[in-house]
Amino acid sequence: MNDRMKAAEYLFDELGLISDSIVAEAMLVSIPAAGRKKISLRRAVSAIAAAAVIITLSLGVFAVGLMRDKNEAEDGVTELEAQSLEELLVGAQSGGVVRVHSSAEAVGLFDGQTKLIWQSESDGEYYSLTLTRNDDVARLNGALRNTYAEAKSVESGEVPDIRVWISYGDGKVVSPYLKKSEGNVGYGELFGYSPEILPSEELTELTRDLISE
Amino acid sequence: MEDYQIVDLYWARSESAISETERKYGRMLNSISFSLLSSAEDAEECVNDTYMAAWQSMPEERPVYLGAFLSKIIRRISISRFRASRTIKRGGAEGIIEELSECIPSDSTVESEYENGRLSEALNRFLAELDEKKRVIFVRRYFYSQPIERIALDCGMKVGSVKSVLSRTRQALKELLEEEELL
Repeated sequence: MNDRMKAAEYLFDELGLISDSIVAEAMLVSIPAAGRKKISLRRAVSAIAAAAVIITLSLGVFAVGLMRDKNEAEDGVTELEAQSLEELLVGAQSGGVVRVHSSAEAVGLFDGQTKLIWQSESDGEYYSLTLTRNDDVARLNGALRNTYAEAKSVESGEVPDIRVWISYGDGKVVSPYLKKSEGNVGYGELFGYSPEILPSEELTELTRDLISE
Repeated sequence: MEDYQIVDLYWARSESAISETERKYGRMLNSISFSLLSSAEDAEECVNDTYMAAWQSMPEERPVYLGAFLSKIIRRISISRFRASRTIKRGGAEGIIEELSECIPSDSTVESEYENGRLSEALNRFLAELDEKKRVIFVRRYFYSQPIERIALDCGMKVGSVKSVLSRTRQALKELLEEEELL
C-alpha cells in the first residue's frame, strides 16, 4: 500500500470520529430540502393522476362488487376469500402467475419491477408475483401505508412460516411484517427478519386479486 | 421504543436491551457492516460484537443518539475485520478508501504527523459548514459506506448527481487539508 492510500485509510478512520449529531442527521434526513421540492411537485401531479385512476377504479370495483355480491348470495363465501395472506401465497405457488426462483439472487431486485416475494419454510424456494399495472403498485403502497398506520403487533401464535418482502426493482426491499423505520429498509438483498407487525387486510385483498387473475 | 428507553434498559442491565436494539437498529447495523465487508456472515458477527460492545460500554456511557453511537461501534469493528482479512472485493471498504484518496494532498507522506484530534476537529468543522444536502450525502457514503445507488434512491436524486456532489465535496475537503497542512 502506498503512502497516499495509507493516508486515505487514516482519513477513513478519522471519519468514524465525527460528531454523533452529524452521524444521526444523515440517517434521519433522507430527502434533503432541494430534492424535496422537486419530489413534492412530482408527487402533487402523481396524486392528481392517482386520484383520477382511483375514482375510475372505484366505479369499476363498485360495479364488479354488485355482481359479486349477487353471485356470493348464491354460492356463499368463496374459498379464496376465506384465506389469510400466508395461505394465499402458499396456495398460489403452483399457479401460472407466480415465478419460482432457486435463490434470492435469481429473483431480480434491480429489474425495475415491483414484486411481492416470499419464501416458504417448507421448501426454501423463493416465489415472486410481479405487479405489472400502476394501479396495483398504488394499491400496494396504500396497503403498506395502512400496515404501518395500524401496526398490529404479531402475537406469539400468529408468526407465519413464510417470509414476505416487497421489492421495488431499484434495490429497495421492505417487508410488510416489519415496522416502518430506517433500519427495516433493505437494499439489494432479501434479508432475514423476525415479524413485528401483521400486514393490513388491503395487502391480502390485493394478493387475492392478483392471483385470481 | 425510543432511544432513551433502550438506553435505560442497558443501564438497568436488562437483557431485553439487546433485543430492542436489534429490533430498532439491527438491519441498519448489518447494512453498514455488509457495505464494508461484502460478507453476510462477517457482517452478522460484527453486529453481534457490536451488541456486546454496547452492553459493555453502558452504563458508563449514556448516548443521546443511540443509532449514531452503535453505528460508530460497528464501523470500527468492521474496519478492524476488514484489515484483518484484506480479501474484500472491490466495492466494499477498499473502493471507498480509494475514493477518499482523491482528498489526499499530493505531498502527503506516511511520515506526516497525524496530530491528535486535529484532523477529526477539522472534519467536524468542514462538515458543519457544508449545506445539508452535501453533508448528508458525504456522511452516508464515507461514514455509513452506503452504495451510491442507495443514496440516490433515498435522496430522490440521479446516481450521476450523487457522484458529482461527492466529487465536488472531496475536492473541497482536499483544499481544506492542504490549507491546514493536515495529512
